[in-house]
Amino acid sequence: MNGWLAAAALLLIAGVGPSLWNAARGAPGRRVVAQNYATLLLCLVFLLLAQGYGRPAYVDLALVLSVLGPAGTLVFARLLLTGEEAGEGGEPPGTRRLTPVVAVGTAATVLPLCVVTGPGRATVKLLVIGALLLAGGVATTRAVRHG
Amino acid sequence: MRIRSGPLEAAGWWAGLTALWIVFIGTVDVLELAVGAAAALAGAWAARAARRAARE
Repeated sequence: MNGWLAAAALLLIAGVGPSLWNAARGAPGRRVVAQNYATLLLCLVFLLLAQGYGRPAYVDLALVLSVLGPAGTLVFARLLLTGEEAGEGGEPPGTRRLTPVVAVGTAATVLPLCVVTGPGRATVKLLVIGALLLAGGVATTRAVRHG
Repeated sequence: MRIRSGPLEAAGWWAGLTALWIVFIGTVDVLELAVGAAAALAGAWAARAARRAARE
C-alpha cells in the first residue's frame, strides 16, 4: 500500500461511492450531476491506480473515460434536463461545486503524476487527459446549468 | 472563420490525430504508425463530417 493507492482508495470511498448513491436516486438533475462527478472521479482513480500498481495500461482507461464521461453527461443532460430545471428557477444540486472540484481534483492528480513520470510522451499523455477533463468539466457545467 | 477546402481540412485533422496517436502509444513501431495513420484517416473523415454537420 503506497500513497497513490491510498489516495485512490480515498477518492473511491469518499467520492465515487456517494456519487453513485446520488446517481441512483432523486430528481433527474441531481442524478446527471452525480453521474458527472462519478466519471470524473473514476478517471482520477484510474490515473492514481496506474501509478500505484505500476501498470501504465490503466492510463489508457483514464484517457477513454476522460472523453466518454463528459460525452455521456452531455447526452443525459440533453435528454433529461430540457427545460424542466429552468422552470424551477434553480440549477441542480452540486452544480456550483462542479467546476472547483474538476479544477482542483485534476490539478492535484495530474501534476504530481507528471512530476513522478518525468519528461517524455507519457507526461504529455497525462497532460492531455488533464486538459480533456478540464474541457469536459466546462462543457458539462454549461450544459447542466442551461438545461 | 475561414472557409477551408475539403482535402486541406481533412489533411489537417489527419495530421493532428496521427500526432496524438504517436504521443499516446507505448512503443513507436512501423506497424503502430501504419495502424495510427489508417485510424487517423477514418477519424479525419468523421471529424470533418461532424464539423460540417454542426455548422448547419
